[in-house]
Amino acid sequence: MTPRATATARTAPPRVAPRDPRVAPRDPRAASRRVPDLGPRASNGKASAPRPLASRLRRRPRPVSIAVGVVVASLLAVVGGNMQLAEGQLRLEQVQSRLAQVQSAYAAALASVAAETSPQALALVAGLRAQPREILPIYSVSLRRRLPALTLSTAPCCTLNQAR
Amino acid sequence: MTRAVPRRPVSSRTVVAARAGALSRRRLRLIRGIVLLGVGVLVLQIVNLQVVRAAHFSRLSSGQLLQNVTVPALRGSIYDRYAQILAMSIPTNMAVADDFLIKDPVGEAAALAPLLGIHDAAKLVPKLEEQHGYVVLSSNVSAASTATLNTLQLPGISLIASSMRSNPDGSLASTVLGGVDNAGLGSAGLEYQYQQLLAGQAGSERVLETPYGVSLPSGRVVTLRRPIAGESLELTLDAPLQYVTEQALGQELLASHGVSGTAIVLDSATGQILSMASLVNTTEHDSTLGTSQTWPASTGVTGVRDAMNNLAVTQTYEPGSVFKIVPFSAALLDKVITPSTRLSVPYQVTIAGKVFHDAESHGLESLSATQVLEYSSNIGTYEITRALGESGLLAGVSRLGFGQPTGLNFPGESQGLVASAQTFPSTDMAALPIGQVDAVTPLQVLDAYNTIANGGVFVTPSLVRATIGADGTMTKAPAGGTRRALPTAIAKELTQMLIRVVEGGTGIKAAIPGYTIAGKTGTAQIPYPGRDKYIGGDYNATFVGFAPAQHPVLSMIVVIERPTPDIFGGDIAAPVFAQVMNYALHRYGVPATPGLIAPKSTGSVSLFQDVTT
Repeated sequence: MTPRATATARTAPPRVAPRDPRVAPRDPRAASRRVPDLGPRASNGKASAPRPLASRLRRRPRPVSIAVGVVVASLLAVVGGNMQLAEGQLRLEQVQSRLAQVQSAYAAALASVAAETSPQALALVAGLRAQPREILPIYSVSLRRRLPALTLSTAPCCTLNQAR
Repeated sequence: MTRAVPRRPVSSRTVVAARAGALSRRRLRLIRGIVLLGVGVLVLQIVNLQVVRAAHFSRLSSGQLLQNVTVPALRGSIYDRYAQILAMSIPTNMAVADDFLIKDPVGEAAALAPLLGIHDAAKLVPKLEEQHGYVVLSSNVSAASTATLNTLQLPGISLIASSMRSNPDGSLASTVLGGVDNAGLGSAGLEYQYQQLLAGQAGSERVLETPYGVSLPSGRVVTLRRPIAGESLELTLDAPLQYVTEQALGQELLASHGVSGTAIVLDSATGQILSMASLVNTTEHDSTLGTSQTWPASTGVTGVRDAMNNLAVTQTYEPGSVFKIVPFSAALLDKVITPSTRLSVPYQVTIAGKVFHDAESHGLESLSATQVLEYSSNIGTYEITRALGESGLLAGVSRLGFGQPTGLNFPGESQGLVASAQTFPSTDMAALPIGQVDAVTPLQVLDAYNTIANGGVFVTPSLVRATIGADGTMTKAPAGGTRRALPTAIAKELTQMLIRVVEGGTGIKAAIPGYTIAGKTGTAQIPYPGRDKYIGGDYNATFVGFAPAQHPVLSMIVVIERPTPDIFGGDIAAPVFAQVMNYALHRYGVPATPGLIAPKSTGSVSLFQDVTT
């Protein structure tokens, strides 16, 4: 190893493999320079291109991420749905409460009308007005009974004209 | 095809770095393994909780959060025969405090007081500090206050659905309607009798609540049983006639200084009760009746209040001369007498050492049977009963329904107490026919006279015309039973005799211009409880009759207890009969007999003069 090479090895910071597999080095030699080669993995003495560890580490989380994403999305959907349900329930309860109030007010109004039309209330109002000095009862007469013939008087009808 | 990669010599530093990387990977694997193990444990626990022991924990959770709540059914209403509301339930809310949760009683009291209609908030503070956990602050929270309370969300204050029983007509017919207790159950009268029908069926819901009873919005309200609203009742009562009856009776009660009064108006043909009043004079007889504060609300006549129960069916009394209809009907039926049979009537007789006499002193009189009834002669009636015999008299008692249930089945109704063949001392031959030694209700007396009005047919009285379902379906109540008690001819003869009582006898004050009235007066002594003696100066005044006598439409009885100084039924009860019956005949358009229409008016109006303003 030359001193220059040593210096290079000491000062050059280890290159961090890019996360995105799309920008990963395609040249196996370049890859072998950055990642220590632990020997060929191919069996039967056949040399095969070793799969870089970084690449493997980068690619492995992909299905897990998707699964996690799906789970998180599902959870969010469930939470959102529950929120909607709770909101709907709240609205329903508010409407039911309002309905109960309106029904109560209606019943109270009905009772109030009944109270104002009760015989006692009518008599009270009538009592506050000018009372008649007397009441002449008008008798019911059976319609099957023939009324007597009318007797006409020849006396003058009114006295107003005579007064003039 | 793989391409051969040229190897470069590996330095010792590179080997060290490679070994370090291998170590890191092993650590990474170890950490990953631990994390996976942890996650695995968590997953297993989740499976354990959510699948294996799910039912158990669900049950525990439900026990804490899911509560079964009773949903009350709205109680049915009570209407008069023309759909005037007499009693109804108004849905409302009850404000309840859980004072363990209230941290600021003074502040909450200040916020609550105006909403609950409490003027002094300080009075509310002790209730919020009681430490009972359940304190009812108000059983009737208005709709507006409910909305405000829902908005305020005061800690420890909750609203419970409830209802309030309201009688829009005040105390009108309150002794008939009865009442509802704090639990919403009928406690008296028709409210009690028809409790099951009026109450309906409470529902049940399973709701999500915190252990503190705070409702949680979750959409998990499960209706276990829907509440079924109670059915309503349409009564036979006529509210205006009921009012006029109460007014007339109340005014007479005050004028006559009586203790209590009862009046019933009946539709003769159907037995439907059109009005039924039971009043007490609390102004003058407060010590007898108890403190007036305990009495129901005023009827509108100052000093008169509704009785605590329906005296018309629950209170028995010795009816006096109105009971004479029994020996007369039995004697006519057994042909012992005719209306014109002449009788020698002394002033008094002595039986087993006891003296019986007429109301007014007279010599030996020769009276027809009609005159005996017209002048209400006790000794004349005894003479007829003597001819009739004990068995004939007791048969007559039973025939007219005395000592038996009327069929109304009103709560607390008495069937009275009358003599039987086993307990019939000789003195009863004189006492029983004149309305002593027996106990009957005013309704039983009226039923007996109504039997004569109906041509001898006894009609079971009724108070309910129909039931109305929550959906508005009306079901007519079954008609009361009828039975023939007397032949029509006997009823007509009795009617003619009763007409004479009003036209020229003791009941002349019951006369109504334009109508023929048939009726009978009664003035009965009041016995000491448990003693074979009468209270000096205490009487029950009665008038019972029907109109128009030729074609009876309405029957009525008036009873006033202990009037003074006037005591006679003809003076005290008969005018009330005339006043109410006059109104009723005009109200129902009952044709008058043209020849009987008096040219004069009936005088000034008195019905509405004593209305409290």
